Amino acid sequence: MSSLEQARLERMQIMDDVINNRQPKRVPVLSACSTWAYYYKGYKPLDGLNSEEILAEVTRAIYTDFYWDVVDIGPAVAHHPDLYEILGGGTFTFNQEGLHQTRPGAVNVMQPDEYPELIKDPYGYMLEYILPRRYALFAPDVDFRTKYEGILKVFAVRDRIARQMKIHNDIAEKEFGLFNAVNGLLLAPVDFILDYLRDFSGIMQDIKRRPEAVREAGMALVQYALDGVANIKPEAGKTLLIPMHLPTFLNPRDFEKVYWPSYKALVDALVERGHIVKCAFERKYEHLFDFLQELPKNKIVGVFEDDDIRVVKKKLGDRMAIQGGLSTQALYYASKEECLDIVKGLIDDLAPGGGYIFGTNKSMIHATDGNPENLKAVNEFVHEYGVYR
Amino acid sequence: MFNAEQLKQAVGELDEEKVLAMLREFVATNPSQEEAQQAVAACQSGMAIVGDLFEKEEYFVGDLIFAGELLTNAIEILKPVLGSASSKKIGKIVLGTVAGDLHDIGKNIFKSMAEAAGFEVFDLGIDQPPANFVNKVREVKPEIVGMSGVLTLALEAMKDTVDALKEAGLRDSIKIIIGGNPVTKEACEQIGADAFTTNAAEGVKICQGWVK
Repeated sequence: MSSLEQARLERMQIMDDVINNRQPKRVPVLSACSTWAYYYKGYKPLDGLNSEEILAEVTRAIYTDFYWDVVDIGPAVAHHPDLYEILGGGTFTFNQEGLHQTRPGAVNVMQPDEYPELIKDPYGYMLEYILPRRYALFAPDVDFRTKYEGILKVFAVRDRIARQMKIHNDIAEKEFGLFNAVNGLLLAPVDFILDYLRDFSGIMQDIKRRPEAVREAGMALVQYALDGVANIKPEAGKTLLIPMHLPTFLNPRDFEKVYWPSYKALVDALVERGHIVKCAFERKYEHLFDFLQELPKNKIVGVFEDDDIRVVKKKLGDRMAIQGGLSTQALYYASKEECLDIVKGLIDDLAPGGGYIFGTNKSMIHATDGNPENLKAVNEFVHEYGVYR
Repeated sequence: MFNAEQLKQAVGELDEEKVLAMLREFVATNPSQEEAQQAVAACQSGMAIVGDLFEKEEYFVGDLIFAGELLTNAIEILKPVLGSASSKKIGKIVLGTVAGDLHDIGKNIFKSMAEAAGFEVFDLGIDQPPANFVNKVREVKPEIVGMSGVLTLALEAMKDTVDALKEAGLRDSIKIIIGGNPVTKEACEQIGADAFTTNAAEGVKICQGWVK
């Protein structure tokens, strides 16, 4: 076995220990270094979307110039403007630099009185109602041949995206011995309604006016979400990522009524299938910690964005592994010394006993998500200081 | 007439059915413009309750989004009887989401709460380049400029906007507040804004403090 493969397996063991609440060899340093990598090398994300060479170049640069153990999210991006061009629509729009955002007004394609249709048959509802409204390619007056050829083109773009992902993963694993910790991605059912069907204003009106319908639609979408990851095999140290969007904005009463039932059912079903679930608790979740305590023990990795991570450790540390702690704002705005102070405090307070993964509180997407000198310093510091002796 | 206290409470409790029923009943009595203004004032006081409950963490952002909808619907019902009478404004705010950022939920929440607090808000919309802020400030001469953003790239755009206002010689005549997910004390200092907040209710209070 090569020394790089040995390094990768050691890092896999570290992640497996962290997840299972055993003391690992050292605190893993995790990369959520996404399209930031392009700015670091003087490119824009768009350059990487259209060039496998540039993707490979920035990937090698960030894994050479900074210390890492584990990769969560790399510079290869799962969305490409060509996809939405071919489909004729979609919920995303790309800026000149190639970063995507939700396009205002594009999400809300479901009428509030259509919940019964969605609940009765999610696949049928998406096919009959949503796809034709969202994508010009699927409009009723488009002939079969055009649709068929369009779908083939979509598959070709998806193949390009998959090849980019593979290029990144191969470099990370085979050239640097890093452990790729992400096994797949899915949305919690009610977030699917938020992100793809109703948008913020729409879903908030639904939650206040027809909470039962939102809850039931969530339950109906559990199987839909499970089907999307049915072919992914559980692997030690690897996680399925669920980025959580709506709960931070909900009061606990609404959360319990509409979001929690389908989210809990989904997580339980994934765990039953042998998966570890990584939940990105975006923004703040302190008002919902009582619920999170009911998630299956040692089966969850929680990424915390803006919560006090020491309170998280106290309240949830015996239930789940905790990831995060260093804000991208500090990484960008603070001095190197300030960053090192923050990071030393994190290791001192969070590492004892295990269960802690060091990383930024959110993905590094834009140049403003981190100063390279600070990033270099903190990662090297954690690698040396975060060793369990 | 209507019971102002009950109306205010119903808005505070986000009891949409009750608020809309009360207002429909009220409008059916063919009230005077002055009475209609009192109904608006009661709804706006209800929004202040919503803001207080938000600060106490009884309500969350989702409740604020719905409160904004509720207030819009309420005013819509009152429109036919409101006439041309308008309530006195306590100040002007030019508001927008900065260049490159398409998010508007936080901006819209701030807008509806600021309007309920008596401000006249000039909403530029999303993805607004610095020149649009500069032009609007020249045109309406506000006391306050509010810049919103969710993405970290918005921080750069906010700085560019403040710099543009400086270059135009307008910076000293206004207060600038920045709001949204990525703003922090450090970001606020580097951008050169006067205040920052991630909390719309707090943002409105800061603005009220500036126009006292």
